[in-house]
Amino acid sequence: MDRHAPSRALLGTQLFAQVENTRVLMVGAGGIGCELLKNLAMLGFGHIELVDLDTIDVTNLNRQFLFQRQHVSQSKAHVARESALRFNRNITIISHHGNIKDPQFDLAWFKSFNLVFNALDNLDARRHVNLMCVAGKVPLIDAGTAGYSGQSTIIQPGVTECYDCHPKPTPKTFPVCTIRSTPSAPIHCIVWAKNFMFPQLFGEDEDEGDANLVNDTTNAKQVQELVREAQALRELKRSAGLPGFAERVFVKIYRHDIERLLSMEGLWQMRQKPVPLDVEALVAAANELRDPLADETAHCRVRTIEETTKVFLQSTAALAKRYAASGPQSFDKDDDAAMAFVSAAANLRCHVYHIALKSFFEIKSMAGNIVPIVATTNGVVAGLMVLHALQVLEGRVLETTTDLLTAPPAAQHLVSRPNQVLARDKLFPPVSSCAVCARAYVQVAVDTASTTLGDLLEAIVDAFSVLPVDNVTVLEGARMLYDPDFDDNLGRTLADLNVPSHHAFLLVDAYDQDDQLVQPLSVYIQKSGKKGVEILGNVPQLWTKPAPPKVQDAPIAGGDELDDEVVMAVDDDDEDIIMTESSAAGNETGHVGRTRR
Amino acid sequence: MAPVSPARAASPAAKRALSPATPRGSASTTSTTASPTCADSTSERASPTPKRVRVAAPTAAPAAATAAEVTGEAAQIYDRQIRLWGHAAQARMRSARVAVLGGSSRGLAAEAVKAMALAGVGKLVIVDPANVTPTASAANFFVAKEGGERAAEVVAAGARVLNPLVNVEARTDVDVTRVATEAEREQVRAVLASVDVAVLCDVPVPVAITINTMARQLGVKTLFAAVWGFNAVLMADLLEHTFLHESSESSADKDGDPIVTRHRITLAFPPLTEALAYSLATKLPPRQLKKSVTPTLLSFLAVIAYMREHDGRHPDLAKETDRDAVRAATAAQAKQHGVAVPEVDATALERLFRGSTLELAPVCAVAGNLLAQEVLKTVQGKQRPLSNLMIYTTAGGAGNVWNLGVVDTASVTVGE
Repeated sequence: MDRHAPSRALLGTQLFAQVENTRVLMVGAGGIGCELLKNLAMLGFGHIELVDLDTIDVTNLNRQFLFQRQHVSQSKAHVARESALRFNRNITIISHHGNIKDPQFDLAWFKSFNLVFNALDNLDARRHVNLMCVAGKVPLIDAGTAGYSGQSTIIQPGVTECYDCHPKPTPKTFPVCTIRSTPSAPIHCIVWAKNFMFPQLFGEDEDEGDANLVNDTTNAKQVQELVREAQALRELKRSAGLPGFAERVFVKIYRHDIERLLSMEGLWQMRQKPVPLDVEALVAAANELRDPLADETAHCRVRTIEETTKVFLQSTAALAKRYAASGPQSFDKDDDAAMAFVSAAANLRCHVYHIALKSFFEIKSMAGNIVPIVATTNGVVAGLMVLHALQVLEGRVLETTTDLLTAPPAAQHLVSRPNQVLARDKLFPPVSSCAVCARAYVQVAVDTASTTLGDLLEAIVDAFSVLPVDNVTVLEGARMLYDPDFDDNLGRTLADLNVPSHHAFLLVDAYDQDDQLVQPLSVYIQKSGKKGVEILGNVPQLWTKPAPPKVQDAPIAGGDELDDEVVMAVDDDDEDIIMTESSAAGNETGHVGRTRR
Repeated sequence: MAPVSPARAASPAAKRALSPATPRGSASTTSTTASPTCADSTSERASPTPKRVRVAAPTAAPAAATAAEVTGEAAQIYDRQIRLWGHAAQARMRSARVAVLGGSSRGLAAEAVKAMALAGVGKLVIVDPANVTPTASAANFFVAKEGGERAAEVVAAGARVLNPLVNVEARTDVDVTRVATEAEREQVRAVLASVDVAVLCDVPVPVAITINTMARQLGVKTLFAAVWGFNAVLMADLLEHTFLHESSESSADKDGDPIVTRHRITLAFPPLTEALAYSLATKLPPRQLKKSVTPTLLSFLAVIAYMREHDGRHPDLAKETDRDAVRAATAAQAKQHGVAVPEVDATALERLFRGSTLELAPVCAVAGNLLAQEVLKTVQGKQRPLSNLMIYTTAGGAGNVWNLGVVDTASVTVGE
């Protein structure tokens, strides 16, 4: 008997045939991805391609059920394919071990699919896929989970809101002085240990940070002190790997630096003064101890200051040795020595500043931006994704119904309420000011080596009569390429201008004219061997409407806004240095919250 | 332990099942640890007056680590979920025993077993004598992957591959759908007595009610779930169930940690028969009643009533006789709950319940994982459980829950 008989009976012959003949792309083969691939394969989706750049880690095994112990450190995409094919041998699954932003995954490739699934863990990739789907008008099912929360939603370009229609939460930032001089919470000390101390001691040598610091005039004295402190550290770093290095660092950062800060009376008028560590006594006591990390059961409690000193000294020595032998190191939460260093360094600083100490387990969560995940949430969400996909195939997005027993198709999210476990969220039409889906998209094939910006612009204004050449701007990302007052680049080739031939969207925006707004246009550059400029596919009709309200320029999606690390960033407003902590990290999440209440 | 009202069932097994906060094999419950995820209900004492508990690190390390520690490779494998529910909850799951009864060929049981095995439930007993059905591979990925004769054995083998740390047993000698003779009942009773929670998957409604009655006598909690085409239902009878409820407020203390209040709450569940006889009118004011008792709820309750009168058979709504029977049952349900009979269109009803004997893989994924999540919450003694009827319909796009007679019997604030 045909295994698909029940599915065919339920879906109807026509919809089931669509399922069998649909080409789907799933981006991400992690927590949601494994569940999704199982569902797609079981239901009989005929052609599935999956992309994931990751390899399998032991902490994946509690939920990414297509992987077992023997697969650790292999490609997620390839192993997921092998496992899922055993569920259904009659379908095609193509796995790509790579980054979805790689050049080979261009717009034409995206457009070759009927449906795309986002099963991603980070904001940046999720936005990139959203952009490509909007540009290519490919329906996207987007999902995310974190803990017991999760959601799935339909993004039908031009019909529903896209992923970027609503601003995402901005990363948490801390003023640099809080991190460097006046911490008041454990997270400040963890950020200091991970983003300042770790790179200073074991990372690349760099000076730019200090140059920026000097510009800050409000805290001139404090800043000077910080610069001096960093210089001293760099000198100290030259002896990395030599005996006594860890002890010298210990004395410097927990006694000398604190003493220097204490000399700035102004800092402590409203704050409790830090207390330098009794370094000699602690080093002596630490030398008597055995490795405190050997007792794994103690990861969940706060270690004593002596134990913490011991962990600090041994991890610093280990990392310095590694630095001396193999060059600059970068922080990785799964690197035992790095994690030991950050936990100990942060806790010692907490102690100095009278801040409650944290356990190793907690510090790992905070430093690694680890998002808790359970398999059940992923399982529910991946089931909803496929049900949403069926809605799209049936063409029932934004359909209305008067039937008492049914409700219009919608996005759904998991809730923990006494009267509900799964809630519906209405789907809304696109937001008119969205920087992604309010634009028109056109794809052009060019030979970047011979085509000049002027050639391209001429072809564009020829095709779009509402765009007068003397009244548009052209940007690539945030880079200005052309403006009526800036035509220097018109004679240069796109290659010369370093316009990448894949994933480059040139933003062609008309200035307001005759109180009229023109729809902003994105031009996708497709590499071509042929000379000249060829517009591929249909030329979209740009809308025009009376101004105001003014459409604001917003940054293009898919840029390099965030990575999942805590970074030092310069805040344009006051030139103060800000420590930025990205929220887009961890595993299956990115983040969840685009649902409406 | 918080004062609770007298248990409905008083056997030793009942007492054990009622005390989720005392895991077997846990020697020490004394430590106060640093983190909200490490510190858990094993370590709290009830405090007489409500107070805010700041969950933050103590400055001095406690003397002993909790015995509920999960270490080594297990700690790595379970790391991401321990960060959600804590070490103590993980340890309680490890010592829990769960029987999955019936439906081994189907997707619902497969999904639930997979999720419970991955999470690290200590012992899973898969009870079903049936052979793999010809269309089992439509939604049961274990069958699709492994093949084999007895569905319970196939599912058990698959679960062992997913997590070698879990003890999985297949029982093909016991049939929960056959409880006509005392000998048969004794066999089922023996299986039930060996576990903490009985999970009934896709068994006929009358069977679920019978097994629930037997399980109650043994002090074993019951979760019943079924996938009916595009829909799923879940009913819970957790007897007297105590759980830790943590609510964190958006405000944070000076260390940036959220302020967490913790309550130990005890619920008393009615047996499934009583839940189905319960009237929401006894609890809800008229306005809320009208909103809560939806046409969907009444339709499902009517179908359940039909099944109880027809040996568990699904009504065939294309047939006039069955349609009339369901319509009459809907009217009876409306009367029971004190609301007007809804004007449900016959074709809409037929469409809602089309293919109810069949299953669809993604619906099994949704329902099986919701079911597994309830089992995990139950054995962890954490979070408010689903109380006590959940209906998910693909067409309605929501999973709604109705409280049919579950009452809060005690709530105590607990400290760190």
